[in-house]
Amino acid sequence: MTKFLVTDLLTPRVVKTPRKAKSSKGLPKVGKSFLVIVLFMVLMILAAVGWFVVRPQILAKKGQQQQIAESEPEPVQPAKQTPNKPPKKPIKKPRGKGLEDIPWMCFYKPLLNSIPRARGNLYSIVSGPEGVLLFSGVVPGENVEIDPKKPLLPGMRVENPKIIEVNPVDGGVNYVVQADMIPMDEIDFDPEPIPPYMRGQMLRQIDSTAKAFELSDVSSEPIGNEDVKNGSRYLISLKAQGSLEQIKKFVEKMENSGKMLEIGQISLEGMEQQPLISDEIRLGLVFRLYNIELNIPENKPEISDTLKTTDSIETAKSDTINK
Amino acid sequence: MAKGSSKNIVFPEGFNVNKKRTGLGIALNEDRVIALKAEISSKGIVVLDADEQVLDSGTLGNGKINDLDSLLDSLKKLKKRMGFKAKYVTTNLPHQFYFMKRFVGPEGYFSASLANIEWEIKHHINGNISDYAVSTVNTGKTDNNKTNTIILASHHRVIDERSEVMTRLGLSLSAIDPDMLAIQNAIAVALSNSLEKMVMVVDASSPYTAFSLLSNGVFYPGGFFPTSKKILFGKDEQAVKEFAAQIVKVYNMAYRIMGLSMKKKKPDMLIILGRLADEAFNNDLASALDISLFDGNPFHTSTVKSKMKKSDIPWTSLIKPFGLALRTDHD
Repeated sequence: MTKFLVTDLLTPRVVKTPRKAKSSKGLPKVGKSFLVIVLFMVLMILAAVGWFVVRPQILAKKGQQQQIAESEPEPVQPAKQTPNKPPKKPIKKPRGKGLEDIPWMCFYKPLLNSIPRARGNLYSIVSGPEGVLLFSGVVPGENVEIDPKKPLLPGMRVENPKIIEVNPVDGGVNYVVQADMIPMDEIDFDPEPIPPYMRGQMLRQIDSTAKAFELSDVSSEPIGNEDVKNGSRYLISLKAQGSLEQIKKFVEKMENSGKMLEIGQISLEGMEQQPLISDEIRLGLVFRLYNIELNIPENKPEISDTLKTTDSIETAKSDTINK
Repeated sequence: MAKGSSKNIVFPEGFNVNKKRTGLGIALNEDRVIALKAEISSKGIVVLDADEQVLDSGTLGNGKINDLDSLLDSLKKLKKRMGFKAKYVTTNLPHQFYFMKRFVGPEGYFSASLANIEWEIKHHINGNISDYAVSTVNTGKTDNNKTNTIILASHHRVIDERSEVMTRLGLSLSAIDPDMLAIQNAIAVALSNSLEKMVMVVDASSPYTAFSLLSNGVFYPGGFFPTSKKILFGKDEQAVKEFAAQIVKVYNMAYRIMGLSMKKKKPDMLIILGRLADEAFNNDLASALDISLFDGNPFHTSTVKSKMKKSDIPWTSLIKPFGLALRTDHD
């Protein structure tokens, strides 16, 4: 049914004010001081109870355990495996088998490398829904036809490009294209899971690495935890500013951290509305830190442990079958 | 649909007919200003008066007001001739001054909160989001029952500039509407009951030509492109053919994502408006595009009547200020 379209471009914007803490809202000054004193006294009482009552009990229990441990004989260590076994070589894992649960691992370094080769000028790259990238730019020339079949970003691992929007602008044609991301075929390291107790450390590492690569206005924060197949993942957002080169180095460093870490969402746009290659870039990233058990049948420890020497997954397979 | 009380007139959903009023719309076009007064009530719309004033050369340049005094002089002449005593007015934003983006999703998928709108729009504008006025409107359901939402953004500078013109004319701005939405609203009120399934609307003007689609009553923004000098200075057969070819090209680009193209699925009807529109040009263009041409008059329908004694201005030029007048909520 036809609608009468009512928009409102005249209403002035409401200036956002910083949110106040709810607990202090409405409490008079005297009330606040009283609350602080009461809380302090409660803490003091708890500390005293802990020191004089609970601590002696714990110490007594610990002493008993130590006595028991000292009286038991030392367990005999089992003999170590033969030293003839060659050191394990890193195994390249085919994408789509083992790491399908971390689909965008190592995806963004090649993407950032492809930006200088873009047709015309690229102005922004942003994540759409899962596995979809949106990028906008300007191809110089009047009435240029944007053909999605001709790659706008040579070397970028995307497919099924669709033109979302085309607008003529001064000196060219502005486009917005949506494309499906193609995961990397393989990676050349064994990623380590990031268990929950390492999440804080990773947050600090991401933040400090960004600063070490001289990105400015860096702010990072945890944004949540999600259950995924075979485990869970932890999300950390990072906002920063810097040149394309600085961002490339930072992203490369993080993607090659050896950890189960991927960039889930990205947002790159110029601060001065210039092309990404020449502008200071406003960067937004969401890192996903995985704590999962990878489903790689070829690399299961019980298989490799049964072998005397294992150079490749194929050898491992055939040997197991021959047994 | 909002229903009128006495004659059972059906107005489009969202149109305010509860308050009887005289709406005034003023369209600031590149070469002229056109004003239209219309009486709006639940009994229907009556166009009372309309007039235009050609601007001195260079008063507006590519939509930008270069000579404010000259523009005000022209508007004052128009005001005097029409004798309008309105306090409120709605004016237009030319195509090149706004950004319009359509989002499709299931019901409730897109929450039109300020943060969401700003996040979406800032990926499409080359500027600081705080410099832009943004707004959204739900345009209805798609054929597969999804919701269409349009996000609109325009630079505060342009809005302030046009607002100042109206203030200095002694009028308060009731609303400011993009050209294509003003045209859409006019068509929705005047013609929604008599249109084909898929209608293409072309505003053939200078310096830009814009187009949109009305499919099963739902508005789909298209785009705009610079109107070639060839067609502006002579509407001969070759120029019209080239112009039609350009429309085909931009239509195919704009609606590719909807699976539409002039080859696969062309519109059932064509409405041509704007400065270039006249009988011969409209017929030539419709024939070049091979689409049936709308040949009615939106000011003589079941919902809209005209009390204008005589006007030299064709309805194809009045439709925009008419749409603007409908948006004015107070006398």
